[in-house]
Amino acid sequence: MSPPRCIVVGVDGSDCARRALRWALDLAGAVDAEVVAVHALGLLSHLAAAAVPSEPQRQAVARVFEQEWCAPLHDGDVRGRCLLVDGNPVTALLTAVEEHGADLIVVGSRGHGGFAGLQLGSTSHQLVQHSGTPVVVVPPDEGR
Amino acid sequence: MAAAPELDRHDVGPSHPERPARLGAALAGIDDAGLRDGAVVLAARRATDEELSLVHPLSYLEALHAFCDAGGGALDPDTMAGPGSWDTALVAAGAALAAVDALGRGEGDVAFVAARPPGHHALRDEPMGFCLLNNIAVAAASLTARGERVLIVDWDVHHGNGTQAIFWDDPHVLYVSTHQWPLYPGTGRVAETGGAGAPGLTVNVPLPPRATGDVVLRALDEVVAPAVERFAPTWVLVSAGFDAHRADPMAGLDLTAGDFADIAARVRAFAPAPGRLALLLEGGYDLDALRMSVGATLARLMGVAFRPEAASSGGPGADAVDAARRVHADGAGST
Repeated sequence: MSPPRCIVVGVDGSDCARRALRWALDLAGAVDAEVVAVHALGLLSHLAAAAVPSEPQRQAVARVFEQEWCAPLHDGDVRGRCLLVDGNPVTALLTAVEEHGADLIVVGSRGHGGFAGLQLGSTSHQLVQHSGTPVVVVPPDEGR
Repeated sequence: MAAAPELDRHDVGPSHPERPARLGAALAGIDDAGLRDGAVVLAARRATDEELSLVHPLSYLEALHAFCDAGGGALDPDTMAGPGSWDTALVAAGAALAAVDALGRGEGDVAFVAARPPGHHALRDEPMGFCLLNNIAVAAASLTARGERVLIVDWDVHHGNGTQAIFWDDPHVLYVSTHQWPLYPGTGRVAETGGAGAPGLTVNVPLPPRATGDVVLRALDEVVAPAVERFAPTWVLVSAGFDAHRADPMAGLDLTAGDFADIAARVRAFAPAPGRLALLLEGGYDLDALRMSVGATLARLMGVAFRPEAASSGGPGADAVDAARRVHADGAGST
């Protein structure tokens, strides 16, 4: 098995996503891989500033995403990029894998999912079910 | 009019924009416009597994039912379900079926389905974007199963990715959507024109932020009308979202209640005869805008003077309409 050349990582500003990005950057630095950080704009993403047209809102989210959530991506020597897309996280991550020829997906786990059923569930659960690319789920810190 | 607010038990919290109060606002709009006397209120019913399985696999229905019965929770970052959501979703889909059946029996000229949760983002086997069951797809599938040819017009501000995907290869359904772009759910590009089994039978007109009603009307006249003429529908169903209203907090188009009335009049002209047009409530999250828009839309369809807001014009989007017209010229579609 060869080391990954491109790693897609899900980023949403949460602690678990921050850990996932850190984990992906550590691995990428060790094997000289590229990191693509993806954030999916959901329906509720557009609700934060009521009655404000979505384009300024979108730009505001893009700024936070690129400058704050992806800050570790800009700090080191790892090659990386930030990708803001519309839609569901699962679809967004799988599409990014396809478009960038990535060979690994990294997401954080909040330690709980919506539902452990057949088609439904957390982002990590659905990715593991639907991805043809290996998925790493970085667990919660839980004080360790 | 099919409405069942007393059966609405899909409540995922006061902070969620897709909330029970939306139904009250829609029904208040009907009262504001003075339409109650001219309307027949249909008893809603629950859709059956047999009816739903024309669209959704039984495995999905069972999983969703069990999830709700277990107390519900987050299905994705936007979509929640609670203990009452399954029953309410059955009623929403069943209300759409009841409306179509009533029209089929000659009981009215046009139907409006005031039910929630909305449906047009729901995929065959996946809830999405506040949607659990794809109500309009269930209604359309019930019609195509009887040999009908169904035009679906989706004027919600968000692209109806679920409906598009469900009928992507179906030659008996023409799916048309005007929506803001870029915006959730990220589908609905002009180049998405249908699968190999239904080339050109998906028509997307993605519009830029601030687009106004005159741009939507132009899209209907110049892009949609020729496609409808070629398709020759026997029924018209509408995903009637009202979140393209300028006051809606979820998006950035600049439509008014008057625009929705004018758009509805254009869409009614696509129906082959009275009694072959049903509108299903989708989005619309500013309660005042929803109230005015529902009232103005249905008043126009019932020939009643009620226009609380004038039409809008002068916004951007002419280029987007031109691009869609080029793609669909002469029915070229996906060729």
